[in-house]
This record gives sequence, structure tokens and C-alpha cells, in this order.
Amino acid sequence: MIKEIQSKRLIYKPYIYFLLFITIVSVSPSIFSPNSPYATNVSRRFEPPSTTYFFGTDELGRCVFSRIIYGMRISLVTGLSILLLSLSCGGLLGALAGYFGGWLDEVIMRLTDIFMTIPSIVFALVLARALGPGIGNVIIILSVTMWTGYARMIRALILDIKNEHYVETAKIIGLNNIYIFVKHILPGVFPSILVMATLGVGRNILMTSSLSFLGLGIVEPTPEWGAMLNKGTTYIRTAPHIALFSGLFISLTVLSFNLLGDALIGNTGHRNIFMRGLGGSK
Amino acid sequence: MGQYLIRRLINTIIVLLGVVTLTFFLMRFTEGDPATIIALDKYGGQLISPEVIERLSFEEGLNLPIHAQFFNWLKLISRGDFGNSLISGVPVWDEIMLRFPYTLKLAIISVLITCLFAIPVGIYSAYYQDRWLDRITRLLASFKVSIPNFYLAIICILIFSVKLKLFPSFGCDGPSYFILPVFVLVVSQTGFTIRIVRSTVLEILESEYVQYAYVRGLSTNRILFVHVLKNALVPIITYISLQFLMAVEGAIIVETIFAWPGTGKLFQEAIFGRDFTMIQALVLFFAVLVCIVNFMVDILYLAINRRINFL
Repeated sequence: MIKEIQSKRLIYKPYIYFLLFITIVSVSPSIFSPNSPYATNVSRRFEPPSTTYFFGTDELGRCVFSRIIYGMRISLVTGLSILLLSLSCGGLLGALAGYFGGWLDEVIMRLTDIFMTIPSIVFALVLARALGPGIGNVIIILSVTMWTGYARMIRALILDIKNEHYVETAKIIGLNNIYIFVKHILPGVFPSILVMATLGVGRNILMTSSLSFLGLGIVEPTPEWGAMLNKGTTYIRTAPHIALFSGLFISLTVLSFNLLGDALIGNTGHRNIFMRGLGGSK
Repeated sequence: MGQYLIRRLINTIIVLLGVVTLTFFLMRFTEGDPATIIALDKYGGQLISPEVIERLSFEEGLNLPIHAQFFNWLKLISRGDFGNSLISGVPVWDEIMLRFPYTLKLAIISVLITCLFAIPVGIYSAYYQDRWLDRITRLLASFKVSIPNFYLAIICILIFSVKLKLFPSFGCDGPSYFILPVFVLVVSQTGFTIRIVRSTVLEILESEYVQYAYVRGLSTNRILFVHVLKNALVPIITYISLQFLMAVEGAIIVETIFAWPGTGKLFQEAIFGRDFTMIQALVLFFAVLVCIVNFMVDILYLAINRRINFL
């Protein structure tokens, strides 16, 4: 893995620095933001970008730049939490299905099919309407929606590796399932899971902002990019900078995660699994 | 072959039943007490009292155990009775059928344009692997995958409607209204499609019959667009079906932004209006659409590729 990262010259890629920047900002956004993200100033509404307000001000006179900076933490935290929940649940089910096969596989896969048949945004919207807005709820909603893709991909990965000679040998000499799984299968699928996770965070951030954009995910006054874009759309004619900057940061973040994921896919030999997995249903 | 079809059909039916069940319980557990909702619908906010709700829940069979309710509901929807909209009062199914053609038009046009553009670009990109054409398309594809379609839509509105005043930005009242929504859908789909076509074609270009075609002295274009494309069709068609579904699904956001009168907008309205029956019917509608498209793709596979592994 390390060798591969070196050979890809990841050190020289701009998106690495952008992701690094987001991570650092998320740890302490207050250092990077010139103004408070919540402080309103009605006399300075809709100001265009200036030296005090780098990205201008919004409809309540709040600093758009500071809100975007604080939004990084929210996007990153929700993206990672959704990943953690959906990947562990989906991954566990997928691994069980792939490793044991038989009726367990049949049941888990039909369950996945059923969940996948309802389009993810439809599912997420129905759940969001019921649970109401909030960061915690968004994490739950999107984890319930997103686990199916991981279950499928991990099942496919395990099926691929299950018939390798070294796994079969380990079974024949009577090692127990958990030992085989941890020692022989997990290292084999780990690089692929890393790719899945990288692409997954990007997708989660995109989904979170979609929900917020529709007014059902994370809502005002929390500085979430999708919610800011939603507000910005209302004032697109008078103050386009609100929508432009918040959307730009969603795009850049998702793009960086996607490019990193693409670079990591490299030699995992499972390009098709990712392609299929990302496609959603089918 | 017949056996394969039957297997797929049984699978589809199991999934359909599962989806119906999931929808029922999803709605029961998320949308609050249905008796209150129906009472609100029938009598309005002022007139309802606990007695009315009790009487209604008795009349509608809502005091029955949940499994009995489920079977009653199954009976109703198998007759095509999805109930009336809680907002407009018209039968839900009629409303969906009235709105769906708009979404269908948008989806079909955008998928067609995407294919016309993405298939040749993907093929050439694979043929000129790692040359400048390939690098540029790959980079652009990454961008297209990452830009959310709502951001793209807003930028388009800002440039073409607000600044240049070229195209209308909301509603559907003639051919010019199609341009922006179709453009957004096409751009958001081409990225993935080019990638799929490219990676499929790359694999095929390695094969021996392509080498043989070169040896026979066929022209490059003939090899690419007859020999290679024919064998790349199976994955591409799967993808086109997915794209079609993505267009219907993505329409929820795109239609909301462009105020396009399709099912996506209808769903968004229903969600915000808490239109219980409409949401229920639309969730089922989308799910059944996915099932049908997937099943049709399976049949198409058989027609295109005889080598498919039936077992």
C-alpha cells in the first residue's frame, strides 16, 4: 500500500493538500475563520466579497467564508460517521453472506435487493421527513440508506478471495472461521475497503448536502454547505456569491475524495466491483 | 434459457413483495397515526376529536392488528386503489400518471443525448489510452461525477437565465424549457458513462479477435464501432438502464430546482405537504419502476448476448 502511494506520487497531487487542509480546519475552525459563523449583522446584508468578508455576507449579514470554514467540520464529521455506521453494518452482512454462502447468502442478498429497489434519495427523504432535521438524524438516515452498496461490494470481494488456495488450505487444516477471517481474508480485502471508504466519504458528503439542499437534512442556523446553497438559491439574482461559494466547496471536497479514491483503486484488481457498487441498484 | 427467465421472474416477484412490505411498514412507522391523518383530511383541523378519530379508525380497519391491516392494504393496491391525495383530493394514481410523462420525456431525452455523446468519447478515450484526449476526458469525467447536479443547475440558471436571459429557468411550456434540465441531467450522467464505456472497451481491445481484425486490415473505425462496440454492449446497456433510473431519481432534485411538473417535483411536494397517500404511492411507484427496468434489462441480455451464464 505504501509503495503504491509512493508510486502514484500522491505527495504531488493538489487534492491531497485540500483534504489535509479540510482535516486541519475541522480540528479547529476558529483559527481559520475571521468572523463568527453565527453573528448576524443586519446592516451589512448581501455584501459582495471584500477584505473583511472574503466570500461576502448572506441574507442575515453573516460571514459566508466563516460559515464555509465551520461547514467543513460538519461535512467531514457527518461523512465519516455515516461511513463508519454503514460500512460496518453493510460490511458485516456482506461478509457473512459471502463467507458462509447458502441460505444465509440468499436471505441477506434478497434483503439488500429489496432495500436497493427503493431509490436512495426517495428512501432518505421519507426517513428525513419522519425523523426531522439534525446532524444525528442525517447520520442515521443515510446509514440506513447506504449500507446496501457496501454489503454488495464486500460480498463480491469475499467471494473473490474465498476460493484462493491459501484460504482453502487454512480451512482444510482446521483453523476456525474467525481466525481465517481476521488473518487471511481481511488483509486481502483491506486495500479495496480503503478505496470504498474514500469514495464513500465523498458520496456521503454529497448525499448530506443534497438532503440539506432540499431543506430536510441539516438546517439553519447550522452552517452546512447544502443548506447554505439552498438559501443562496433564493437570492441568486441579487447575491449569487452565497450559492456559488458554498457549492464550490461541496464540489471541491467531493472531487478530492473521488480523485483520491481513483488513485487508490490502481492495482486492487477490483475496479469492476467498485463500478458496479457505485451504480446503485442492480 | 426459459429456466433462467423463470428464476429472474421469481426473484423479481420476491423483491416486489418485499418492497411492498417495506413501504407499508416504513410509512406506518414514520408518518404518525394514519387515523388522525385521515380524520384531518376528511373533516379538517377544527372538527376532529378523539371520538371521530376512534370511529374512523374503526371504519377504516385501523384498529385491527397490524398484519390484518397489511393484508387489507395489499388487497386495495392489488386492485390499483392507492387512495386519494390528502392535499388535492384527486386519486393518487391519476395524478402520478398525469405527471410521469414529463419525467419520462426528460429521462429519455437526456439518456439518448448522453449515449450519443459518451459512447464515442469513451471508445476513443480507450483507444488513445493515456494520450491527451484520454487524460482530458478522464479529468472532465471526474469533475462531472463530483459536481452535485443541484450546484450545476444553479450555475446554469445564473449564467443562462439570469445573466444572458437565453433560456427560461422554471416550468415546462415549450421546447426551450427542456434545454437547461436536460443539460444538467446529461452532464451529471456523462461522467460515469464515459468511464464505464472506457474501461469496458479497454478490456476488449486486448482480446485476440481485435488483434485479428487489425491483421485483416480493417479500418480503425470499423473495428471500434462494429467489432468492439458489439461486445461492449452488454455492460453499456446495464449502464444505460441504470442511467435511466438515475434520471428519474435525480429528477427529484433537478425538477425541484426547475419547477418541472414531473413525478420528482410531485414527490418533493408530497414530502413537504405530508401527503401520506401520495408519498406511499410514489415510493411504490419508483420501486416498481426499478424492478421493471431491471427485469427488462435481464431479458435484453438474453437477446444481445447468447453466451450469458444462465445458472
